[in-house]
Amino acid sequence: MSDEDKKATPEAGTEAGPTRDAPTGDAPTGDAGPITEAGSTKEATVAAAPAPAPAVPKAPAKPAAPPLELSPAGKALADAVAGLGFDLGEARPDSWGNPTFEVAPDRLVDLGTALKAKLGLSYLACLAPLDWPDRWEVAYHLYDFERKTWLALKTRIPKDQVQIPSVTPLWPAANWYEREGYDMYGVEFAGHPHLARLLMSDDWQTFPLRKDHPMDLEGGY
Amino acid sequence: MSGLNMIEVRTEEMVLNMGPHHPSTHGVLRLVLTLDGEIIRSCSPVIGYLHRGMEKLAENRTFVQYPGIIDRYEYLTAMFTGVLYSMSAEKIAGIEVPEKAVWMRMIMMELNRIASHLFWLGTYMLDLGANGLLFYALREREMILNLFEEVCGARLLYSYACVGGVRFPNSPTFEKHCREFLKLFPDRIKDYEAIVTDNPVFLERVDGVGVFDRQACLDYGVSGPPLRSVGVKKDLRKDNPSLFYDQVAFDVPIGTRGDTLDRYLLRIEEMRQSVRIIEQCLDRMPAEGAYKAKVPAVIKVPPGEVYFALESPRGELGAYMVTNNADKCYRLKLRCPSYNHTQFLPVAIVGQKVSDVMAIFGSLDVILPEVDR
Repeated sequence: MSDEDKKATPEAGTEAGPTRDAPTGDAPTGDAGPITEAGSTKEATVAAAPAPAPAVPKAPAKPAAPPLELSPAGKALADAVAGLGFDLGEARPDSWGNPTFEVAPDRLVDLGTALKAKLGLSYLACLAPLDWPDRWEVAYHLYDFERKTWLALKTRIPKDQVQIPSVTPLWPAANWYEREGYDMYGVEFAGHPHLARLLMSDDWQTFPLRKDHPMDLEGGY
Repeated sequence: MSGLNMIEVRTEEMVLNMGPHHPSTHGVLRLVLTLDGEIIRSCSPVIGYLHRGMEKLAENRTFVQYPGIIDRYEYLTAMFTGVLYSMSAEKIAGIEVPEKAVWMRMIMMELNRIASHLFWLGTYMLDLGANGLLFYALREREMILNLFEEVCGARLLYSYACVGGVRFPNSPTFEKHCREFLKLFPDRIKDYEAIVTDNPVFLERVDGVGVFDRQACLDYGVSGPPLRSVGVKKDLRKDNPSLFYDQVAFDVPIGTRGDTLDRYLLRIEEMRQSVRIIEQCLDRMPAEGAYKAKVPAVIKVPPGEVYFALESPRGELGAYMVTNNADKCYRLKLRCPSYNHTQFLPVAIVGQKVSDVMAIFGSLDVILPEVDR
């Protein structure tokens, strides 16, 4: 079982990078960027309907991803965020119609402050780091009580850099989420009041949720 | 006179470890409390004792395997976690779930909500020192578990929802038994209220105790009945309806005082509303029809991401799922209401008496396996 797991993890990782790289561009046409053979057909159908999709060579039973669009509430929120003047580009919808914005790490706190002060987004629902083969990514999900929808912010940092500004002073709920992010991924949230391990024991050495972390450590812990 | 002056009273703060095996923590939680006499000066929760690596497992188990695991993540509301995971994958893959399966999911979730609130009611009274009500509450919870057993053969960890629908068809007698329960249950709620709500000993413990601040609740991401107790009307069944929640009529009770008594009253009222929802679901559920969409044996989900959330008995139960054209998630982040509530606990109890810690903590309805994952 361990053999299989070890093989499966890096494989999924390498496949991930280029495929996921594409949709993070601002324009939807950017989706057709660098693409692996596994992702090409899917990306094409999502991105541009008129583009002739290449024939699907294998696994015809695979369900096609539905076209993504913002929910009405999500669109209203995306417009309000665009009105703040941060030049974030087009909002990308996720599969439930919530808008997602990409933001540079050094502008994250500024944007968060503006969102909280001007749009009243003081409710941080979720914070999740991700480990892509070429980068770290942190996704923030804020709930808007006025428009009844979530707003996702995404920030990415290169693999060799593990520092990202902390949003705990802004949204106290981020405190444990950031500690857990450090605990599981080793991403350091600069400015966090107490960045210590949370779920793992204090003397733990590894970062378990990293993609290169094996499912079972040889020789025990 | 001078003799009296010589007695020097020395005071110092005391550090008290509450837990990890305190009977009232409903799991394994350690609270490091700094006490000034009876008053709590600081509190730092220590969690992680039940960490099972749920999110790592999600990246290494297929969409068919994982629903059996995610039940263990929050075992009192296993119907919710299963539906949450399945629906996240369905949203990304665009899988249409048959109508009957959606109604069945809703019925099961609302029954599960009642069961969870009942268990909370019984154990919360236990926390407050009233032993009797646990037996009444579990008597009715037992009826719900019998219904679950009839449908899916399990009483606690159901593996009921799966990607594409539900795993089992209805048993022929389910509707009859369910309606029997719904007929009887409102009277039983009246019984609980007769025992508890006007009981002066109970009121002494909860009335005006643990009043939450509205802004602090929002800052810390508190959700569910604790958030509604401070007057914020956030119920994802109304605000962001998934399934068929926009087609059934029900009310969302909100509190005014934000104290522990409010949270108790809200949960009682929510059980009544759940009964209403289940009745409508039973009326509208088609008798015939598929209970599961046609999905391939190996489910591959195209690249995509979704943040999906359900209103669980404890609050906003969310999942941030990222997929990558594989038969497993690339990343699954579980957003648990109890996690935020435990984080909020120090804010809620600092300045309160040590005897009220469990009254306040219990009113948040935290379940520790969900915190640690």
